[in-house]
Amino acid sequence: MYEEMLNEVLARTWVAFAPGGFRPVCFRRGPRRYRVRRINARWVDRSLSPPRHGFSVTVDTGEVFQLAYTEGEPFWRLESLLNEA
Amino acid sequence: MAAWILHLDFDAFFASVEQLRNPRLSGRSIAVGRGVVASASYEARAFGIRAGMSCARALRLCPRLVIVPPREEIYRAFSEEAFEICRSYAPCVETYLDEADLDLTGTERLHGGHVGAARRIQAAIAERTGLAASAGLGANRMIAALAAKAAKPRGLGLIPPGDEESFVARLPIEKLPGIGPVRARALRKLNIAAVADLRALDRHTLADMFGAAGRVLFERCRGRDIGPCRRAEFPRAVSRQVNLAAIETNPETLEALLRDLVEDAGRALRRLGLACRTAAVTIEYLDGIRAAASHGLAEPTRLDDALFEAALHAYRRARGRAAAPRGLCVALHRLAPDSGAVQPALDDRGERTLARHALMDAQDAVRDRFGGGALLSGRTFLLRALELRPPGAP
Repeated sequence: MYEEMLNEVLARTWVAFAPGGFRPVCFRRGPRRYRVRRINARWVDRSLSPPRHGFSVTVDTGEVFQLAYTEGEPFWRLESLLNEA
Repeated sequence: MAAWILHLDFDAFFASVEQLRNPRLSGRSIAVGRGVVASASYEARAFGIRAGMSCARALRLCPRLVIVPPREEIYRAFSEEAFEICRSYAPCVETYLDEADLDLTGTERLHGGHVGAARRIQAAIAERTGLAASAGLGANRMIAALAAKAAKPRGLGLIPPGDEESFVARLPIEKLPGIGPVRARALRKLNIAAVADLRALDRHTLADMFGAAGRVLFERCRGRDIGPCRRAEFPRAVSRQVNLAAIETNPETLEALLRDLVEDAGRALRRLGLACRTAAVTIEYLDGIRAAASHGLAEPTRLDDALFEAALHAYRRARGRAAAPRGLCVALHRLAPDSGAVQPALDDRGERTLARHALMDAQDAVRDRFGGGALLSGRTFLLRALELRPPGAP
């Protein structure tokens, strides 16, 4: 499957804030900690209320994940894993 | 003052977003679609793959083609990001999913020339979203769109004022907006192959052949476009969604959640002054499988009851499994400006329609003032007892 939908609530996400916005730098999934090596793409779905921020990230293992943060929620979601195809 | 329209068209839009989202697809032949190709990357186009082609045929043309299922909500978010940049350059921007028309008339001194402004907009879009857009400048929307198409990919086309007629004259007949394969066949039977040949037909002949569209074609084949850039712009869809924190399979509760989402989306619709013709429902199950269905309405509506009825039809069609859903999304599509005028029927139903519209406006006023939870319909009252009101509900 090209995109595996995970929809997991992440136990912990480390986020960097800067004047241009914010970005995830690290997250814990189960016992494993993933370091974000690269933000591939970012977007904000403002048609939703409250808006949802999406990030495609490449982590230190080389995997590509899609993370999401809905404004006001106290957690981040791991939406999907994008495979090689 | 001469009119100047800038048309922007994102190159291979869906496929480009997917290549951004997954860098491993960069430089590869990919197509976005389910059954039918909605968008193909330029690498895939080299194999002859085009939008509208069946995925099976596309795979025969390019066996290494990667077919990616579409994620419309992500594409919409990307285009909105780009449209925000457009809105900072022009007072009137008309947007579609992967295209925008900007009325730059009268902004030359402000931006220091239209060509420079167009290049800056292209660069800003590329920087903020990573997407490449082709641009076209011309005296009207049709000319600007044709100039952008001629400049694809990543280019900027300019048709100087006065050159519109000669520019369109050279084009094959199929390139003229409003001429699809059927009309093109009919015209080619009459030995009309280029736009210049179409000018031999007078207004009445074209109207006899194609009805109201014939009158529009009469203007278009002369490089004229009567459609102005619309100041009022509206989104493609208004959607609301909820992720369920607990396992929930009770049909009454799920339908109550659906009603709550419809009421919330309906209020947003009315706030935008729009009416809707299609309600779509997406159910996402705990195992990650998604099911979607939509239901069309006979006429555009802004009333919650009619919207809910359509959404319920769609929901019941989509809900083919007994499994517990993880999330529910309602999207109102095919939006049109709501004239505000209510046309009552000449019987008791007419009075009821007027009363329902008045009730809707009163409900919105109360909810705007005291919050979304201040008024609950009978169905959604159940959610308060279960503490299941969506977290986003105001």
